[in-house]
Amino acid sequence: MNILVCNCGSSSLKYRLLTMPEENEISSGEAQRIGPVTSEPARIVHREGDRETVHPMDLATHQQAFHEILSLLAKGGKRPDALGHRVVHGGRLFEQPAVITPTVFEALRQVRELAPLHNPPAIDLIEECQTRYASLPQVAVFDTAFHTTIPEHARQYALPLDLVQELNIRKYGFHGTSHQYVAEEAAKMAGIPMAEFNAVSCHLGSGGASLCAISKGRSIENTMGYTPLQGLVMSTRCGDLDPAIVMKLLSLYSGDMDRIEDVLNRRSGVLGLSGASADIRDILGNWDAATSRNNRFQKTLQIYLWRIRKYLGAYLTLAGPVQAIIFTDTIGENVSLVRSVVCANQNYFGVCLDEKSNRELKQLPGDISQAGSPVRILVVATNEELAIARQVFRTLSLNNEVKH
Amino acid sequence: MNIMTLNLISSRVHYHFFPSGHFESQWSGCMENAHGFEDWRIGLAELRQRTQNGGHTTEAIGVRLVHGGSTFRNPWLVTAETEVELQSLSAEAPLHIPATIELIRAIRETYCNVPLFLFFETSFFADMPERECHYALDVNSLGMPNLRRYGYHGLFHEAACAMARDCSHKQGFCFPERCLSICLETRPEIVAVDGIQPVMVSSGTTPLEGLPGQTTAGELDAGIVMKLVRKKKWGPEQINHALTMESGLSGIAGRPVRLDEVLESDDPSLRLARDVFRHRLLLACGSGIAVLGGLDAIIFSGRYAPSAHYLGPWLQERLKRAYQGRSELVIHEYTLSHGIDRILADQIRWRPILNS
Amino acid sequence: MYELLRMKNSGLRKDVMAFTQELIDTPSPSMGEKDVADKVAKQMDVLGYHHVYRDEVGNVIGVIHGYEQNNTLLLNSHMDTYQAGEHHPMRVEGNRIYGTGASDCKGGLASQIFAGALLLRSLLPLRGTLVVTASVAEENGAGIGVRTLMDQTLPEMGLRPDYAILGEPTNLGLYYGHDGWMEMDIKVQGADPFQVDNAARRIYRSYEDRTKHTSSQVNEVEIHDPVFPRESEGRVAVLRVAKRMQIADQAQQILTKTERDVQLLTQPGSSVDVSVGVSREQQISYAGQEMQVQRITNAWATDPFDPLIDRSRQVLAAAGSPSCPGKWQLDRLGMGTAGATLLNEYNIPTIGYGPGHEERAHRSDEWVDGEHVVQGVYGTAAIAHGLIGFPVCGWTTDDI
Repeated sequence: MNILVCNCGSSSLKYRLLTMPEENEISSGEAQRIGPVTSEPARIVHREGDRETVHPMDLATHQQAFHEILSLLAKGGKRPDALGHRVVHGGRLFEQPAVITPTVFEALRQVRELAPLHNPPAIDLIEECQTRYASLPQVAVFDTAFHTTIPEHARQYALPLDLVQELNIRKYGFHGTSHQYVAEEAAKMAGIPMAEFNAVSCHLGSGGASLCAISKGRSIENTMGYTPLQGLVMSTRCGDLDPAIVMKLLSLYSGDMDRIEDVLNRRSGVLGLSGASADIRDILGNWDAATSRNNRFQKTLQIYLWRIRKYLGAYLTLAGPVQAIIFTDTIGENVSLVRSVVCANQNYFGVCLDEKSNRELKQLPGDISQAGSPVRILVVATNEELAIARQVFRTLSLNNEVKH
Repeated sequence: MNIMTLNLISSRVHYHFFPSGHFESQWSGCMENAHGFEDWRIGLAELRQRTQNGGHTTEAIGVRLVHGGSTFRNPWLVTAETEVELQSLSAEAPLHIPATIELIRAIRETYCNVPLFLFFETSFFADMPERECHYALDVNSLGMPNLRRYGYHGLFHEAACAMARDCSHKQGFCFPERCLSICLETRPEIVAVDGIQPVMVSSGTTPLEGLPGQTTAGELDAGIVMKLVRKKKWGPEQINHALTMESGLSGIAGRPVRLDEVLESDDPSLRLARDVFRHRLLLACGSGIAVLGGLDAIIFSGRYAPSAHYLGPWLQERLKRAYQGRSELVIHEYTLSHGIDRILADQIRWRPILNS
Repeated sequence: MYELLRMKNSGLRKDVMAFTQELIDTPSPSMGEKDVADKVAKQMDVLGYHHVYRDEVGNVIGVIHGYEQNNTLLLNSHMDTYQAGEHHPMRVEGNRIYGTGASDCKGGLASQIFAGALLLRSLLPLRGTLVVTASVAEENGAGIGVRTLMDQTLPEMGLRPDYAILGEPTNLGLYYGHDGWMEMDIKVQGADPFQVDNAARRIYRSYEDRTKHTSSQVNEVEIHDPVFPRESEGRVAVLRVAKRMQIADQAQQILTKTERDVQLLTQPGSSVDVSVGVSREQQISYAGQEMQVQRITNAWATDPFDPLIDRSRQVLAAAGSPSCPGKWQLDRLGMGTAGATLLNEYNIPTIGYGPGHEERAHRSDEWVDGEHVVQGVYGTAAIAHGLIGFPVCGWTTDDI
């Protein structure tokens, strides 16, 4: 069956059409700059096989973009048999992928505001598909679902009970689809059944980043928390912070929350530290300059790496003894220095990185640990769309909705 | 040397007197209902009289301060300039520093010729590496150029590590190079010490960050604080109250609890609080091992240090489980049972040795 | 932190009570505030204000400096009282302190003066500057005291307030404004004294009817009997009319409209001239300053979204003394606050927070609850700390 996976960003819609269970990609692409007209026009970059075509057009909403994508697919004679939607935040209501029914859709509305940038476009698109393509089965796959196995004592914040209940405050964790996918791939590589696989997965993206401790194939801890703000130093997000700092800012800015949110979400992290770029690769590119001249770059890099290392140690202890450390996403897959620095001097945990294979890693997935290292260090390309397609297929099979 | 130590807690002055030749305080107490310069002056005069009646003269005084920024080192001999230097730190610890300045004034007036030493909880952390001290913020554009991380139980950690070195020497072990120092106080704190230098600490720019305390929340997602503002329309004062007075282990348990009670009791209603604490501590220990590149010793201190009896074995078991190194793993464990006053007195006593 | 404030405040309680009684016991009609001013200045000195100053019209200014100079909070209360008949001496019944000006606003004045003292006693460091002012000539002078403060005194001292809190009676609610009022003199003038009399009487009747028929409890118009000043030529009658003004009302429009209305009331063809103007008075302050006073108070309302209101509400909630925003009713015209001057003319966000009830003001049995004044000290200090103090974030008074 052909499954079309939709991944709604705040102003983009990534899609991929896959045949399942063969896992062959038929076509993929991305609708960019959806929304009000900006200086650069909206467009759809569409790929089929090796052929990439660009289609500039006005795309006011995600729904409109979706129709255009369907017609692009139809021109190539392709049509989906089922739809998979990535929904960032499923709150406490969704612990599994969910086949969309009117009841499920009502529940989706309730989690709409939990991720104010990402959830609304995805949920709006689901609603549209439900009315216009009612015959297509739809499945929502949640980024938070993988983390619902985080045990109570790890997801509990030390806050007053009434407050926790009133606002549903708990660690939700994010990037679940990616962590789950790379963990499954890594388990396969290591030849260990997922249910016996202990690992630390490092999803180091150019934007967001998180680490996940995996025990017996299940997520038991994630660096992100109630929101994606907590944890590692990210491109423009500050990560861990003394809560008193937020209070001080509140007092300093006379309660101007928009400004504080902007500062912590969009002006901190690598950008705030370096004052130059939100991409750690730019800072790394200037590594020589950083070591000698630009003290701020040097500091940025140190803080960025130090935080990953601290969390890596914490999760190696928590999930220990682990069988693998997994690196994925833009930074994790492409920047050897990050991998080598955070893995250095971790003999305690049995982590022995092979510098040469790390430096010369060309093809993914790859193993960059020394022979005989108790912990394998694996670099795996994440493929969230495929992970979603798998979950959609699995969910529909369970629901007996797969037409052979 | 006859030593008096004074400790200002919730605007009450606690005093301990260590006559020459005694390692433990021989008498101690607290000035009740004394809430300011005038009261303290009167109380100190009485104290002085009491010492004299006992046939002693006070030869040195030690006062503990929670915050000394990065400038003050231990012990700090008070001079005429000290007050002004301290004042510049008032904003960092607004509840403590101005009050202690008043106390220092009262002491200097009462004991005008007795050397007065200040001991700062933060001094131990003054030279911590930048990568540990800094948040991922653009501090200059935020208007907080001095924002950095400190620890707030430096005196305990320093004394505990010294004790561990001493013990290991006596026992004929190697110098414990890589230590995790865990201070079990109402606001617990863990420090990773490399040699004699702290390289990681759980506390933040205030003692709120880090491990959950008896009533303090510890580490939180900043998004939660923002949620409280948006949903509850709270201001910083209300949030501060909730996070420092109603949270932590007591918040989880739903009633006021003490740290030792949580760590030692089998009460099912305290299980979640205990598990949360242990979980956070374990994560911090793991981070510590990662930054130290290994582990030689775990050292407990603080008023609830006896709870190490329960906590230590569990922690060792979990840390050993994660170990996959080649040689056999030995983690030494030490417990410092001294109170903070003994630590101050020791520091004064050993000062000539330390200085030489 | 609030526990600390509460504890220190209970230590100040006796002094607050005594000083409130002393203030109420000292008569201070507008332009006769000297005795009270002396006491205020002395008390500020005793309490340890860093700087106490008296300006040329007789305002008393107490300053507490913070570590930085970038924020200034003005606390203002007036020292003068509205005299309904003779001065009522101070007497104490239980917690109640009776006497002229008890509610309006000597209780508030005492609260504000001691709020500064409470902050000093608590040793909580301030970021900005706290300026506590006791002004003259509010009840009678329509803001002359405050104007002098804002135009001369504070600028000369290098102070520019960012926010202001009035100690007027709000029953410890947070009030952000009130309607205004204006007193107009309707001058009827003509060669024929009988025609002038008739016209004046007609106008008087017409306004008298209007006041009788207002359905609400709140007076919209108030009139005073005509007076007949002697003038060299012809006959002149002057009626004084007070009128409520809403935020949007312009004084000039009201004057024009009133003039048109009254002209219609004079008999057509009569040789009577009618003119309407804002009432004016010549006054001499206790410090000997002569001044021309217009009997007008503008409506004002601080933007309900101004951080001042939100922050004050949050602080009081945190301090365990929650308070709802509201407005003064001003059910008797002739009352007003300095808010109109501070907000409308100097653009300073202003709120009211003080002990006592508005409805008790200007009455012969005026009283204030002493406990309320003590509570006001705490609340005012808490708000002041929230606005210009170093935030106490992450710390508690407990040992760490």
